[in-house]
Amino acid sequence: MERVLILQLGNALLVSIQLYLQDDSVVALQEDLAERIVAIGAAGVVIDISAVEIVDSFTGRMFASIAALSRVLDAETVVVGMRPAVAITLVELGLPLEGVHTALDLEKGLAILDRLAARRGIEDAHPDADAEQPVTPSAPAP
Amino acid sequence: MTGAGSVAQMPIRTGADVVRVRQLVRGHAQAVRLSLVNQTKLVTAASELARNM
Repeated sequence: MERVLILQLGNALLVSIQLYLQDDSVVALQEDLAERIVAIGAAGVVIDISAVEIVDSFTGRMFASIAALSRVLDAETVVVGMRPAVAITLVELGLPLEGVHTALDLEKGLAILDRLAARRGIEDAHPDADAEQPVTPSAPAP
Repeated sequence: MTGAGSVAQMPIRTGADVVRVRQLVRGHAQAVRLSLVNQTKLVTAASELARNM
């Protein structure tokens, strides 16, 4: 079984998918991620798929379930580095990647996590502040 | 030999066979000079089928 390495970057966790993962590896990755998210109070998980040549529905479901798991543990998930051909195929397959944010690269992915964390902080303080505090891509990360 | 019109057979028994199916299909797709996007679509479809075995 391939065990996927989980790296810590500030308050985010980074997972780089290099191989096609079998079911048991996916289960192990989810368990490891859940433990690490809780252990460091992670704000988010970044999944780097720049080395991934194809994403089928099984891989897509893995991203969605990691996102669902992370969300239950108060963390967001960003998939970064998707290849153009993979994006086209996903769209044509109609695979929505539910609950997953995407960014072009790691840096942009971390910026999304920062923005989301800031936004959640605002919502916690003022539950109806969402409409007053639009988050735009050009907004500087706090 | 991979090329237009050639036929290959491959048994699918374990998860590792899914990876071999993808490699085989990608080889054929490249041999008939499919574009990268079409290669990706074809290999994705093959992967879906192989995973369902």
